Amino acid sequence: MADLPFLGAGVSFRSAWRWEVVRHRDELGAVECIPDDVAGPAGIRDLVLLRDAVPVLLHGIGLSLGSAEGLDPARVRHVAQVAEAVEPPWFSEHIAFTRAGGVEIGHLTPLPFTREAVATVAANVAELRRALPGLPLLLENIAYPFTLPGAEMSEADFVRAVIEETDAGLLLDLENVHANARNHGYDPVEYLESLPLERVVEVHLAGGVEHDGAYVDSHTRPVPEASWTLLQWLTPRAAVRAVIIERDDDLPPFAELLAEVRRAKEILRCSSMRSNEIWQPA
Amino acid sequence: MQLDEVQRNLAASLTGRTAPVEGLDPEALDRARRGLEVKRRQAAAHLLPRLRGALGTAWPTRFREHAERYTPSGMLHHVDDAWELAETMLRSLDPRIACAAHDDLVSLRLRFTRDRRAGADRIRERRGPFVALMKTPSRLLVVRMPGPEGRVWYLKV
Repeated sequence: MADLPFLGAGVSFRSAWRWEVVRHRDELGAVECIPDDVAGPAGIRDLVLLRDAVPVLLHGIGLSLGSAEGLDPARVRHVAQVAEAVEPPWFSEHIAFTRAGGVEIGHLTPLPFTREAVATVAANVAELRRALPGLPLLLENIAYPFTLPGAEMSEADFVRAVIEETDAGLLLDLENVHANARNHGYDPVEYLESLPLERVVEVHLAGGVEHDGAYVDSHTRPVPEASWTLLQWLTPRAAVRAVIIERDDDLPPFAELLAEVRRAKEILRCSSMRSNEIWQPA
Repeated sequence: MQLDEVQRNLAASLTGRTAPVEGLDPEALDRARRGLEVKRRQAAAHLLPRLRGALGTAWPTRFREHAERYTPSGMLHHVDDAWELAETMLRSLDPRIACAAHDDLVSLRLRFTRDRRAGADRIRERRGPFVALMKTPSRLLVVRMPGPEGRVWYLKV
């Protein structure tokens, strides 16, 4: 399989920014789109047109890879259809579940840090891979507001076990690391040190808010200094191919996003791209 | 407890159907539950701007009543959620609110179709023609031509 390309820094795609993205395509390494938001052929065609202007990454949010009841075939088919049209360099999803017992939770929900959960994600990823042949897969660490009882390992060991068991790349969300470190009282750098950094392909950055006595990864604010510091720590230690600045709500003028993209680009210059340290998907 | 049981209990608890899951910090769970409701409400506000405006300060309360009654589903569950709320508010006795719900629903129906039996695909992009009357700020006849990228005409009446 061909090497994963170095894309640089970009933004999560929001339709309100469509023309700004096209206008500033030379400054964007990639835009990340959510296939779940594509409602049919016209939406797919829009993504293909966008892809012709700037590289498009596909980032799933609703496959529920941690669901013990398995994957929803309709959602897998949909993602495969979008991926076939857009031909992204890789596809990413979360280490989480979003539905169970016919109930849609509406958010990424943590899994217990157990061997059973690792095996469940691995089985679902194997099924997903059959629908996305040849497309490299990345899995993302999530922000979790609570931990489930019965943990058999630490969160970092759980993420490592999932990445190794699935042979996936790691989409490292540094804002989630920052949020979890604050809410669960651990050292974010110690946490990062215990992850398989050689598997990191992409990084997410975003900004959250303090709310209700906890730090919420709301994707509504500029990236905080703490997350920039984590990116600076990470880049000499991992072969990061893409950094995506995420913003879901309270959308600022696009120029503010571009300033964050430029800052990420600067930091990426230090990224370790030595080929013998770069993980390649099997 | 097996993973599938843990997940069923947690999903039910987070969407307000059952008591907190045993062994979980009830405060953290409650915070997560409130956060989920805020997320739903914000997504609905984007899709239903007229209804949000017409309800004013009653918006959070009305949304909570809706959220307790309805769990959205499908890939575009935020659209499904807004659609259901707008349909409910069509029955409001306050004509201003019913009118706002109607016009927001027309905006949704211009872009999407909804089939509650279609599981993950219950919200899809509209491909067929569509004609409706919008009432605010002035009366407009909305005509959507057929096709995946059907043009939309807004005609003053």
